[in-house]
Amino acid sequence: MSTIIYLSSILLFLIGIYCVISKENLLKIVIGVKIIGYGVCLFFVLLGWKKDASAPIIVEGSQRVFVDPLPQALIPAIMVISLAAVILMLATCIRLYEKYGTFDISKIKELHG
Amino acid sequence: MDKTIRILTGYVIGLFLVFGFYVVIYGHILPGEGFDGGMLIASAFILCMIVYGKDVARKRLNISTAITVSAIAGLLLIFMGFLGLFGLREGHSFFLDNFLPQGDPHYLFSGGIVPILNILLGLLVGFGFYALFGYLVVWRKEQ
Repeated sequence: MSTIIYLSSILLFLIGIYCVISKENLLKIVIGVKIIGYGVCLFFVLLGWKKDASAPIIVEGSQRVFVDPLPQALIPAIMVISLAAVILMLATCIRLYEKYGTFDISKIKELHG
Repeated sequence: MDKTIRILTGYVIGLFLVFGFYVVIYGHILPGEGFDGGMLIASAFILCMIVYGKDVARKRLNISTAITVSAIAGLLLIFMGFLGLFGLREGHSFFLDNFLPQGDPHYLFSGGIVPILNILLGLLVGFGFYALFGYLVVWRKEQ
């Protein structure tokens, strides 16, 4: 069962990569980058999952089975940092839309190397 | 943006704000803390700016107001840290000392100064990132 869940997170990652490399709309590319991030986050959260476990706060008389606290501390931070990157991408998208009047990357052709 | 996104965004923004403040206030007993909840608050305003346009969003929350709130929250955060230096708890005087009574775990009113720091950090991050996005979108080079 857990193998299927791991494979589903990898599938989510691959869907994100497909979305990034095949779409031509800038906003869809941003959505693809977020899907990649969610795939990675889902994988790490599933690594820390344990059956019948409680939150990792150790007090007197609490049960001794805890979930792994490391993903719970790391994953919100990763999601937030990726959201900050998305903010930068969206601001760039809005600037490009103001300049060219379109989100289609095949029509934004003035960028020469 | 088209009409479907406009109507749906009107429903979603309130949920974003409520969930953001929930994550901030329950930061010391649930996963996620001030930074994450603050990012949710910021994403609500950023969604408003993307969908309804920058003029509507700037009318709802001015960018200079946002950066003022963010700066005041950051200064209060440092001030809370320096309060620990004055030895308010017996025998402890260091930066970010937890001088308030700590209460029982798993309850909302517990953890000493940690909830206060979470709320200040949430305000700092939420309004700060909204102001950052606003400046990236709105700012023009003076001719």
